[in-house]
Amino acid sequence: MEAAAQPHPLQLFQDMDPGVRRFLDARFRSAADLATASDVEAEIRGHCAELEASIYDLYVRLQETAAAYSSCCEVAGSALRGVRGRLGALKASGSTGAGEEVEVRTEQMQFEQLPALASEVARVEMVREYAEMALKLDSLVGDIEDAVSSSVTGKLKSRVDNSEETHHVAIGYLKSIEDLLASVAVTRPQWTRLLSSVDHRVDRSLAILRPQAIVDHRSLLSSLGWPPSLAGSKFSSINSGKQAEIVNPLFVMRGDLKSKYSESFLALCNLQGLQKRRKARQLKGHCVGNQLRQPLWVIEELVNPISTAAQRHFSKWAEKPEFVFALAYKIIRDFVDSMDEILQPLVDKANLIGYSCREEWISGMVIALSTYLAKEIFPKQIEVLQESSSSSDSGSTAYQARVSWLSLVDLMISFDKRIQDLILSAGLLLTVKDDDSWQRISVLCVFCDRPDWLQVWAEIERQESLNKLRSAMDLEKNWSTGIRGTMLEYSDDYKAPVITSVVHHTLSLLIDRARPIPSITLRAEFISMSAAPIISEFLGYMLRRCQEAEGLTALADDNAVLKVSQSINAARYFESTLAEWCEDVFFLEMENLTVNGESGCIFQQEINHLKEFRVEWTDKISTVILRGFDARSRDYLKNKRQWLEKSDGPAVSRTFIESLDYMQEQLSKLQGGLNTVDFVTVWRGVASGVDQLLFAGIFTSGTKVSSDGVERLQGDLSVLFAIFSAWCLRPEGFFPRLSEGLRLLKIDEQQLREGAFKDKNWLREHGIRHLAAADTERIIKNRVYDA
Amino acid sequence: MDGVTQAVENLPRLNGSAQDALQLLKSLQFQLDLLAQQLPTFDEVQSGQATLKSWDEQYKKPLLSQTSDCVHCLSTFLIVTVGNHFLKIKGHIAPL
Repeated sequence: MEAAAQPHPLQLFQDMDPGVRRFLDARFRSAADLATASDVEAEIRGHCAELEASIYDLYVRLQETAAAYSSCCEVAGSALRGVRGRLGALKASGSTGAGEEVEVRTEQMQFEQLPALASEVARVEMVREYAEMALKLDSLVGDIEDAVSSSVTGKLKSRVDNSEETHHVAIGYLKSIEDLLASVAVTRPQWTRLLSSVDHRVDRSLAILRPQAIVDHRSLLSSLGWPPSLAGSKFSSINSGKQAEIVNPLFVMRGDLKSKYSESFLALCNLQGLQKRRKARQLKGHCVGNQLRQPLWVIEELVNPISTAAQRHFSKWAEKPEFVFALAYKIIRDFVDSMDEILQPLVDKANLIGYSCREEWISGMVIALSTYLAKEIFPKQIEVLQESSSSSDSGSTAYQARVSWLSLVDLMISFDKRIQDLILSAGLLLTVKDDDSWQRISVLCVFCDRPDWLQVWAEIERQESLNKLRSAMDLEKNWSTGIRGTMLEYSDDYKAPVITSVVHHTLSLLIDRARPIPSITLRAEFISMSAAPIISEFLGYMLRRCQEAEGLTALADDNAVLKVSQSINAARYFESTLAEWCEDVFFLEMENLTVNGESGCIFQQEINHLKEFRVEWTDKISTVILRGFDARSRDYLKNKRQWLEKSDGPAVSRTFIESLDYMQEQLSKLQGGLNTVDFVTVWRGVASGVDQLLFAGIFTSGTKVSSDGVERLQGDLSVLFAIFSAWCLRPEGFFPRLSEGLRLLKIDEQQLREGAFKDKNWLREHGIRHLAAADTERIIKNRVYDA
Repeated sequence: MDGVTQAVENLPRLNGSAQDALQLLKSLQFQLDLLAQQLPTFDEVQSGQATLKSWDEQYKKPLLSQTSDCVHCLSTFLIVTVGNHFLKIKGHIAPL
């Protein structure tokens, strides 16, 4: 029995195909494998079904190709037959030679047919070129699809050794067809249907190839030991400051694994480069800018698993965000050198221009961290803030919530600073710090997607700053003038109160907080919401302070004037400081972002308000002094007989001296209290007011003036001018009406002609320019000359 | 790259110099406005005020290249016009 059964199986084995034999040997290594016979059968049936489907697809494609080819052949044949027919007709007509008339007609007919013939030949050539290109592209696409299909088949056979080779074969075909498509797009832009149909088929192949390449890459990374264990980054280790080492698989991979990883790496890089070229060709003519830029796929494959592993540690530190940032920074720093040393040469080998592995690694990790913050950390912070603001017991809880928020932002800012140092330490210079490149390496890009969180932050900063500022503003000693250092040339001494340095410091801190925000728009918004309201609040405080002084004493009291002076000095100081800040590039780049199209810098509105405040209260001070001068000058102006009396008394009127003393005293005090520029404004305003007041009271009120009166008036005015000579060299220039009125009165009677005062030239010769004709006539008529 | 680096590093210094020049220009404009009113003759007063108005218009143009020209011309005007009239007077004008 045994001898009879044994030859039969041996004979069967000998007749088997070697491939089938190897297949069966792989499946049935021992008797225990017989239990999986049904699975093997199912696998075999699946393979058969797939093969049959593939054969059917190939058959359909062959039919379509044959039909297309046949159609092209028919078209070409038809065209060629047409050409042959026309050539025959041409030859026949040429050989007829029926006479001169017929010859002329024949030549004309030949001439007329040449353009049509040339056009026909060109069309045939075009059709031939199109057919050739279509066939060539179809062949290449077929190669690609075969390569992709064989890649899938190889995957099913678990032949990992050949997967990279298969990828490279497919990528080679893809590059060839891309070169061809690029040339067609340039030389034959009208063949859009051909291009789009080929692109469609290539896209389907890529849709299969890319995920497969990525899957292969990931499995290879797993075999390398990526992501590395983060167990060394434990709580105690970070807390104690010990530098626990994380093993870097990229540094320790050797031999066969290293070469496999390099091949897989290059395959993905080549795929990405190809994708980039295709996108550039397809979007040619459209201004897409940086939209073509994608993160490096190979670095993404390193970032994603390690960030996923890190988030398990992040979750344990929900209440300790500083550990989250510490671990993230440690991961970035520990592996960043391997990016430069091991991976960058591979990227350069793949000719991926514009990619730095260091930047890509840092950017990927930073984006992963910011994504985690946006999903896990910030929503909790917002929830706590809202609960604390809505609850009745909002004192301590709300404060803790705001402190927690500010601490989180501090951690983010310091993290970004360290990240930028890490980039700069490698010699990468951030020469062009545009928003896009900056947002890729900044965790503060969280605010770019959630501007409402930026508003929360700005509001918290504003509130914290205001709380500190109010206590400082309420201290009376802060409103005294601070001690100034060495005065620079042409720098104004604003005599600003001490409070201005406190406000200045507060504003500077807020602006420094805005600097790390990686978006011009958001920086402008943050400053508008946090710093600008501080200025408005301070201005409002000063306004209330001045109004209180005005309400109590109508600014007649020295203390009241002092308070107003201090506020004017502060307004002048900030007006100048803000204008100077806005000359800086940091603020200049925000000027183009005004939504309403308003011109000016980001603080333009605040600067205008400060100016309005300063002008208003400077004018009030001038008015108060004028009012006091007017009250004290009433008796002097009412005494009209003095201008006709003989000068037997003192040279200057006593009542006028009292008025002048008052004005001089007030202005001298102001000179000590006001800044230089605003003080000049005040005394010029007072001078202008006095000029009008005395001119109206003396010259245009019907007062008769004799020669002795003119002398007395000249004496009085000289004293007035002497007071103002303390602040200028020629005071007459600021009293045009009084000066010219006096000059008119001093004109000798013989020089006056009938109606001469109506002659503009005559008046101009005598230096009269600011007086109206009616006033001039009245003054001359009121002049009393000695009989 | 080295040229670009130097250019980037020089930007803050250039911006600072421009700001200093603008500050000087504002100070000179203020002094001109105050001194022009004190010139002896009416024509000179008008001339000074016309110059002040002209430079005020120039100042509104955002061209930094105008700054040095403004400062130079304004300084020259102040020295020639105002100095001629107050050269013999021992007054309060600080050296420009």
